[in-house]
Amino acid sequence: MDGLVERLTRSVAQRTSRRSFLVRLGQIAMGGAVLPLLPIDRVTSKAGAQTMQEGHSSGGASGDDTTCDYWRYCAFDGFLCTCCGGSITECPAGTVASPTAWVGTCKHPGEAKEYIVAYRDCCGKAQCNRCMCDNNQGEMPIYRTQLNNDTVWCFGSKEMAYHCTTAVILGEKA
Amino acid sequence: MNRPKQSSIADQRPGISFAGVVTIVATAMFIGSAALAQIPPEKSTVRVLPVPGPHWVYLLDPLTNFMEARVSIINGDTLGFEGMLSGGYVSVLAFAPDYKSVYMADTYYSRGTRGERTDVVSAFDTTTLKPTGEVILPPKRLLSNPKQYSVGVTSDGRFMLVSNLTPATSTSVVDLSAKKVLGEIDTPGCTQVLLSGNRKFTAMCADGSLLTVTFGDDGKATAKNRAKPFFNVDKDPVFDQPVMIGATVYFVSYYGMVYPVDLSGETAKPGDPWSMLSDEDKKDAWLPGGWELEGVNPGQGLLYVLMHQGKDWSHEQAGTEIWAYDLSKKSRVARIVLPQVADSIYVTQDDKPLLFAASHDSGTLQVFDATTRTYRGIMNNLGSPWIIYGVSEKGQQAAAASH
Repeated sequence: MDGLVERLTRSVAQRTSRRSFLVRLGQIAMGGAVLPLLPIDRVTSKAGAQTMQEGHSSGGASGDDTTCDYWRYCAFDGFLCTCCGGSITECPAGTVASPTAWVGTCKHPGEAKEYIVAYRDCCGKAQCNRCMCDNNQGEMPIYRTQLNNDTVWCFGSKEMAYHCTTAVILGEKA
Repeated sequence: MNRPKQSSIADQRPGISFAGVVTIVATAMFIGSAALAQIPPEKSTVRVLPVPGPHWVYLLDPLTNFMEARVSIINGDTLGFEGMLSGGYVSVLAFAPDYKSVYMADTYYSRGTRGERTDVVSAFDTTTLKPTGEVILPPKRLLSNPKQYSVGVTSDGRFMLVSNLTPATSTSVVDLSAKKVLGEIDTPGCTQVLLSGNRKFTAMCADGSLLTVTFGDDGKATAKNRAKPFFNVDKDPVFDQPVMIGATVYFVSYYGMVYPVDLSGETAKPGDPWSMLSDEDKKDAWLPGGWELEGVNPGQGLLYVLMHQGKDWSHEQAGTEIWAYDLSKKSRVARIVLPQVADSIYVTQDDKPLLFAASHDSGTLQVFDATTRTYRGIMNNLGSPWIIYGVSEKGQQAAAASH
């Protein structure tokens, strides 16, 4: 099932246009049905939120993934799990990895390649409140729900309290 | 045995026991109060508020203490903190037409952040701020940073409408007098409730159209009419927190267009859009943005919009100025420079309006006279406020008439 989900999200992400940044958002699949993918978030104070400076992202595999300008976070909005006891791919202990995720397409600064990144929320605890990162590109109002990042998108998790978000590489953009 | 010596008052003050100290303190207090006998004995009481006045606002912080909303009740005339309501996870508010009750749509988990989810409408008396009743909702209401139009109360005060997201979109209909949920109206691809009649609401749809739903006293839809899209969602989406005068709603778009839409009929009727921005404004990269970024005063006929100098996708950036537009002339009449940046604004609905501007990050509320456009002051330590709710003109009249 995971393989199917990822294939679907990748194909959708690759079909979308550059300009709209829908590129980075794609769709999610849940329970076999393709649903509009929803960038989760961020029911939170955005106090102290960092953002990625335009044209600037920290470099390659050696970049600091606890900072908002790390290249994988190009479409991120939320708390970095790397600051919350998890890692770039791992939810913190005791949380639930949401079965749903939204995706982005981020350019690797050291290679001439773009990668599909899944932003997966970790749910079921109060917000981590560390390393808030708000790269709002492509974000749409609530009526375009699948592209709205102010909504809690822990759908499929029993508890919908939002904690933090990971950024997992799904693969190279074709 | 080498036991650590236990510290005590007796150790520090040889010759005086702990009990002795307490006796001395108590005696001193008694002597002290006798010496100030001109102050009569007092009673402990709990304050009861008046019904909210035209310059009172309810300031919503959806996540104080991470899982609890807090609503600060502010008197804009005195910059006074009048009281507070506590709620659940990312609560949102709506008022009874007479402003004697405020309804909060809440979410709670049985073990705080986990366990069984309960969604509930909690009613509070606006004078005692005590809960007066509740209606349990289907556990599917929209959880997000709070939006003004996620809930609404019909103008006769009988029904409350609550937006759901599972991620399918629907609206729960709550009978406030019978204190029960009548049912759910499906609004596929459309969300939020813009109320324009006692049994009618309009939802915003993903394709840029509006869906107007009429319903009966049984809570079931009697008609659903979808108007054609009135803007291009992909090129220039409208913000989802517009303002209304009567049944006319004023949407502002990411790139500074104003779209008036008449919601008085059974199908939404878009009017002629106009631009907020001159060529010079565009050159200087001025854009509307923030959270609750629009305010309106019906008597003045002015639309207020929070503005910043930004770029593509800076639509949630805090505003540095508020621009006021004459809605009939479709032209700007004022620029108000904010001493502090703000994310949300609100203009009171009376004939001597105040303008409020709240900041998520600094937890402040700035207050201006909206007639003279002068700064009146700022309040601090208000959590992380997102939405400013106020009292409608009609509501204020109804509240005054009941006294």
